[in-house]
Amino acid sequence: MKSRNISLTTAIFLLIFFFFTANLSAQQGNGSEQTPDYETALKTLLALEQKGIVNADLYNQIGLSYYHQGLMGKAVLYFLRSLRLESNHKEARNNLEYAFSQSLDAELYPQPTFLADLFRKGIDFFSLNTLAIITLIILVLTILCLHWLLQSPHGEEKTVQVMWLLIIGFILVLCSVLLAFKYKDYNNINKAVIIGQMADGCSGPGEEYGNLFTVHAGLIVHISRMDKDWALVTLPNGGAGWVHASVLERVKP
Amino acid sequence: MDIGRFKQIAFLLVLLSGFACLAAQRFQIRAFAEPTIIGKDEQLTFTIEISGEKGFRAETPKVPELKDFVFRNMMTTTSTQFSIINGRMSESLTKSFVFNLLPKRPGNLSIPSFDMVINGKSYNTDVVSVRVLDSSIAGKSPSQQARPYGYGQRMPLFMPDPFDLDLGFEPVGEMSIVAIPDKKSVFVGEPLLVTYRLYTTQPVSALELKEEKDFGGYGKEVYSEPSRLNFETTKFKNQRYQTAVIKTLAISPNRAGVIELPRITAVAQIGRMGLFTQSLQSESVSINVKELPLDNKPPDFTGAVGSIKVSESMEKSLVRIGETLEYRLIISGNGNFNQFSNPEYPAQQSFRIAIPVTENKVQAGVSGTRTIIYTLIPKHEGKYKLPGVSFNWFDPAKESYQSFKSVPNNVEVKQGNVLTYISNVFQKDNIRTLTPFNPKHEYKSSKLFINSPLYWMLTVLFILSLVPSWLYSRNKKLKDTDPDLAAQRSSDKILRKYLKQAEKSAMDYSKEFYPHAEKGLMRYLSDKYHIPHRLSIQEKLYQMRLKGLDEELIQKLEEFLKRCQEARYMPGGFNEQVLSEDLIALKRVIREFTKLSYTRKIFQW
Repeated sequence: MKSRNISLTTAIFLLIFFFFTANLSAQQGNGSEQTPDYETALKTLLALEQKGIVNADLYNQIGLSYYHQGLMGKAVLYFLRSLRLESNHKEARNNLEYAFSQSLDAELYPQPTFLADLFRKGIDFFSLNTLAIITLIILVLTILCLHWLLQSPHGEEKTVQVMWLLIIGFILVLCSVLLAFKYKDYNNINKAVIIGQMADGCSGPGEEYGNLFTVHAGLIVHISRMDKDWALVTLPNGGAGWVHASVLERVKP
Repeated sequence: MDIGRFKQIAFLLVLLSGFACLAAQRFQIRAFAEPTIIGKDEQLTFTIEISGEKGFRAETPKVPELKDFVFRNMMTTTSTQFSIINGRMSESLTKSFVFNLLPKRPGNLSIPSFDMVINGKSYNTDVVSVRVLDSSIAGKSPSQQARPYGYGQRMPLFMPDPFDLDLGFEPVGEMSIVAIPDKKSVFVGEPLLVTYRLYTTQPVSALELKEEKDFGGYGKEVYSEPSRLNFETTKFKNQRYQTAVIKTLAISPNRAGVIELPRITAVAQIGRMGLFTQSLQSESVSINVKELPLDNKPPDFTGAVGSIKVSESMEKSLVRIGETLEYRLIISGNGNFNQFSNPEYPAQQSFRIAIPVTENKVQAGVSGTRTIIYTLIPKHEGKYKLPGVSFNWFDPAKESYQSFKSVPNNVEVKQGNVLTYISNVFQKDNIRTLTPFNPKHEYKSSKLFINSPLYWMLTVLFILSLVPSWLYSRNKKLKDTDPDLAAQRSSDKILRKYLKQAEKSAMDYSKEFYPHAEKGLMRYLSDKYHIPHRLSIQEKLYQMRLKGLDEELIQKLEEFLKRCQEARYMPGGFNEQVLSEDLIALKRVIREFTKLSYTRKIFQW
């Protein structure tokens, strides 16, 4: 028994060792000091996008190309598009947060509370596809529990079955709500990004109205209303104003 | 009260009101200069003050020909005063015309008489003498200066401060916006601050900035913009002004030559009530911008100009593979922070250099500190001498290029371990760089599983699987709790199946009606009365008799079964004409059997 434990521990350590060795080798192999031709690469990537390819990695790389060419607005837009497809896309998340840290309007984003941040991370942990599969699996488990409960002999104690059904049923409700929330967010057509270098927010849909604020490229806004070429947007800090639609681009293509 | 006394009182009242009417017609005119002793470059105010009961109308006096003075401007003020004396309320009005005059020469000078029209009648003020000294007397306290008086007998008070007035004010005074650059000659890229000040002799309650006209050749940023006008008194061209900073712009010229600074347009509201407005535009001010010298210009000069200090720091000297190393270049001072790029870290064989991160603590892009953080990721073990970066800038004060050369840093790279990885996991939130740009040639289009029909088909299928399970469980439960009812339902089901076939055969006038009818009927009865299926028809009938079923009903059944046997096996036994009669007989037998234990109607033929 003792020798079995030792072999098991050794095997685990060996596995960890091989895992980290492989990881470090991968890290070492990543680097390239040559400055890429972002302009050409961007053209190629955009051509792929125009072919109808919808891919989180592709969007992330397009975002990076835009960022390196100084187009912060477009970069943020594509990082968001990448995260829209896969909210757990680590690279896109990293790049988006980096872009936020460099944004001129960084102070407009409210600092989330610990719980809010935890909740957001929890939601982002699963992509829409992963969550859909998990929900389906939980549904199957719930149905199996129901079968178990139905087929239990009449008159027998069913506490265990009911308990499992309640637990799995609760997880199913949770997953379903989360899935619905994420799906709604995925289809949100009002989320947009300021792509112009600078945008003036006016008190009405026109240049003749007074200026309320000036925002810069990369700021995420929510479109509340459209009036011809003008959009009423809400800023992350809750402020609202009309901006010309040409400086905006919706995250949902 | 007798009539004589009443007449006396009435007379007195009439007399008093007559005096009151006479008093209403009276007003006082005073003319005075302040101060009466001034320096030759100083300005004085000559005030004509008319005070009396409300109702008089004074026209603005015309300025006579002035030999010894230059007329600058004039403003009027009006004030109303309420007083109650012995229960009687009176309202008095004071109107002042304030002339600002500048003496032409030193000596004893006279301000000539001013003509004026009050309530349609002409009046003249007295000539007022003023002594103008050769030297300035600025700094003398007002008490040291003589206070003359004019037409009125009362000694005048200080001239009311126009900034404290709000009623009946008419803007006639001076007001302008002046752009004041802190340097008149700069180098390309050398930042300068331009302060826009409002100078006014009028009480400005608010100032609205309208437009900022640019002329090109520079980049600009707002350095400071006070939220309110903080007035202070100053002398400008020998005139007392109230002045306040409107805005300060940081200008970074980007081309050589004469460039015109931005001009700002504003609208001032005058008086506390803001009843009057006046549009203003700052004067045109230009500066000279010199080209940066080409001599000794470093090849890696990135455009920094200013009074700059540079320092560096290397995070650590020992690093493991999997960890990162931070090198910081700190640039501080006054300079064109928005116009120079970060110096590149020289490429290293054994380190990957991430895109540097810039942390700015810079005001308006012209003063503060910029920290450039270079993240180095080691690739191989070993001992290395990292060169750091060099940074060059042009110092306008020294009129020469300055250079910062990093001292090489010794760094040792060791093999990574598990702890390295774990510490990296905990440092994930500390975002210092973008991920590498590493595009592929091909990307697979991802599809949303939730939008696929398969997802919803599987969901529905899994949910529907509950239906048979529930039915099975219900039957099972019924068998346990009520076996008779369960048997009855089972037999009903069987009967329904066979009778459907029998009925179909009957409709087709087929001989097959009889086997279906016989089989269905016997299986139904076997299930209903728990008689084993393996028994023969006769044995089943016997069992039924044993169970005490109605003999008449058993006989009817027996007859029907006999009829079936005949139709099936006897030559000429099958007759299409009697088929419908046999079907009716079958229905009758079934109906009577179903009535035996259940009142519920199973078949509705």
